[in-house]
Amino acid sequence: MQQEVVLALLAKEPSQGYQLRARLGEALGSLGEELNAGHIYVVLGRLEQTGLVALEEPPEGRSQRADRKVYYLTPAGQERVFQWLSEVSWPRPDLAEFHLKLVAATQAGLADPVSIIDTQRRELLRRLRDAQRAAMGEPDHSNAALLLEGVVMRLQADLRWLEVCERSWARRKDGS
Amino acid sequence: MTSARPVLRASGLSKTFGSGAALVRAVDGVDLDVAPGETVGLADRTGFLPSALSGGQRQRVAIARALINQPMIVLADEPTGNLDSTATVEVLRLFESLHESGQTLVIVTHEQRVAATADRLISMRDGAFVDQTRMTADSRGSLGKLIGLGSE
Repeated sequence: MQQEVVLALLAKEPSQGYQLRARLGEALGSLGEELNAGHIYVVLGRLEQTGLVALEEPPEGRSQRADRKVYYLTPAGQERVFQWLSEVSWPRPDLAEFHLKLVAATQAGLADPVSIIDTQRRELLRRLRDAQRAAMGEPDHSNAALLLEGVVMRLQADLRWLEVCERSWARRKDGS
Repeated sequence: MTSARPVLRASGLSKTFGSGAALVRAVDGVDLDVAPGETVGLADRTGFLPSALSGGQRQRVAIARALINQPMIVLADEPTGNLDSTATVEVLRLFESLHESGQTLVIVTHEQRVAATADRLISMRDGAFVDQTRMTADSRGSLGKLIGLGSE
């Protein structure tokens, strides 16, 4: 997980690690269960070292256990959050690699492109099933449902492209 | 299966089923061969006009109607055709609970997300068989990686 996510979740108010985890959990739903529970503390430690977050002073006489520490954003941290919010970033699906696999396998006569596509399609369907079932388990209109809707839609788009690939490669195979 | 709208327009929800009692049975699942509590969840909509129901609710009425005779198999043709994603999820949840209570469903769909929820998937193209897949049980755990949530 990106450091900036933790930083931005901290922008609401000074918080303890478990509060940040609760915010993550609300936003991610069942997907959040895959996150390593200790990971957020590792990220917070790194952010502290780089001066983007700092620790509130503990009340007099109390020792400071790791899970009781209250973190807050430094001015540098706030600036980093604003910068991150204004950045345009988007995960890139690696379609070229799969495309070139088909081209190379066919040219070298190493494998049947249609069977490579079939294998890929089954894998994507399996992921789509998982994503759809996860979506059915989230309350309507929740943040987590919205995220899973995105996962489902991307997988559907990939599957549609695979269908186009299959038609095209099957036609070429018949023609040759 | 079709959405209830065209059939129900003039008569209102309960009359479509011949008697109010039949509707209540269908809607409550009392007299259906499904586990108690497995219902289409519309008991509080009895007597409503179809226009007062959402797309997902109308589709659930259609499903209830299909269940009245306690069929061995429910055939559903494009059951989520005109539904938005929330209503689609609503219908899929109902299908899942019916499936869990032992109902066999045969669904024809163009929507991959609907197809992916089936145990057995047969792909057709231009009227011809293309592929058959048996979907394995839940394998969640790799979804996080899909959205960049994996640990570093």
